[in-house]
Amino acid sequence: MSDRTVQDEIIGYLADAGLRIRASSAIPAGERPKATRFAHFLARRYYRDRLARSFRYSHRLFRETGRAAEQVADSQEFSGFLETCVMGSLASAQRVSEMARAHLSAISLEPWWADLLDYERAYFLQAATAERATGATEQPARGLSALCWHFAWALPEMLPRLRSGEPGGDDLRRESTLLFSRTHMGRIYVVEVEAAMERIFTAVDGLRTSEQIAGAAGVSPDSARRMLAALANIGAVEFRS
Amino acid sequence: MPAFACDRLSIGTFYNPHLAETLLSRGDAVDHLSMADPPAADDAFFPRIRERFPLLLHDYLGQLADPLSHHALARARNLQQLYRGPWIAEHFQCLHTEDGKYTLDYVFPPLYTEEFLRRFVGNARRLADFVGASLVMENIPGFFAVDHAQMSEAEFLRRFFDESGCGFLIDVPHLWLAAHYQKRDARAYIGEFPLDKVVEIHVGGVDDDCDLGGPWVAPTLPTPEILELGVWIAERAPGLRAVTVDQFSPSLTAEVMFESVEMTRAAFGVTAARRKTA
Repeated sequence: MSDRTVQDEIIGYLADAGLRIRASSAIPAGERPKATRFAHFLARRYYRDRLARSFRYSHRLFRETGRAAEQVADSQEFSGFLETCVMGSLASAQRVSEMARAHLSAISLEPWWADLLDYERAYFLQAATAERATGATEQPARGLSALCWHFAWALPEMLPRLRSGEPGGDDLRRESTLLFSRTHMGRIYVVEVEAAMERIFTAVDGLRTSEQIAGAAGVSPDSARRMLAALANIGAVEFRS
Repeated sequence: MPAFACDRLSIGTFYNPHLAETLLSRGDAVDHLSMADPPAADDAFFPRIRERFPLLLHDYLGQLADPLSHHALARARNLQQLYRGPWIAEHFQCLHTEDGKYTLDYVFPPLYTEEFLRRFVGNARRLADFVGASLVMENIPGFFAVDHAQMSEAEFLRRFFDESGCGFLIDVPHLWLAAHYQKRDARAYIGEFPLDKVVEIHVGGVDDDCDLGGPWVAPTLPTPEILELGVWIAERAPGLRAVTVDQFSPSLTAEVMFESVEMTRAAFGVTAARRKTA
């Protein structure tokens, strides 16, 4: 076994609670409790940082709410989660996002509050999911954390207002559909999509060919190819052949 | 773009974008800024920051345990062209698995072995050559012991600097923590490192962490012991050019940032002076 492989075993041991159930040949038995404490430190830091960055708009209302998403990283529930956490996985990101959503949903603020939390939760899933889909597929597949979400409020216009301290008014009540995605390089995209693009994204399942996706979405094959290429550029769709 | 101080030690801190306006309003309080992240596209203050302060590239450029991709090398070169500091920095770290399945998203030391030494020396030379700048490397503490190490951290670093020609960015809190968790005397532990290679010193605070059950780096004021150790190192480092307060956090306040820099100036006997060209 090369030293690089041993190093990978140690990194996996720290990142994946499932691997900590087994003994690691690289970490002496007497050091494993310390390694576990370090793993918990890393995970708490990782999710606290991403909660703070992703839920930054709801945080602007902290004076009124007294709540911030990153507070869940210090909760009893989070300490329990550390025993099963796989840092950077989609499943762990989903679990933490649900904790944060529940923590902030407990207060009722403006009518758009629920939409804002949905936006921030979707953003967090991109920020906290470093896991990559495994397994080759001949057909286009969705990015692991990519998702489309319908909003009753115009979030793209509301967020700048929140940034500048202005209230979100009734004039922002407009349905919008946003696509959230992350590239392999870790860049996060949030784009407003039209109905055809959403249908293309929804039709992508790792099994359909580009032509079948076009058919399912009701657009021409040429348009479907262009849209798939655009979706691939922002990490919403992957070609993993 | 201002040049780095050459007639005295440069005392600086990290660029925390939420404190940019305060930094600009406080004139000579800070000599230089280390850049841990690229400037955000919507950072309206950065152009003035770049005009006002010498900048040091301290971004994550890649883990030198593995060859850097062309994309990573080009990114490093582009950042250095933006900052134009006298050196660039990276860390003795290996935090991603080779297959990309796991990442710790935090500095984590490599095994101190011959194989890793070869990897770090080769990849550090490639990075410095590609960017066209001097490279300094920062020590990273371990929290627990592992099997497989073939040499001490100090020996690994000494041999690395001898073979690569890189400079030493010595992080004092990191060494203090390594000594603390190995139950060693900090000064004796630090004395084993190649202080003659030191170009830059990091000072900073430590605070108790609930998960670790002991101290770890924190965006707090540098402790008197850390500053004393830093001065002790400076007295043994003929190539030392800069001391940087290592504080990079959205929770950092302007008060703590400026007080930390002032404490560091006082400890190292550097007064806020005119900036001269290098």
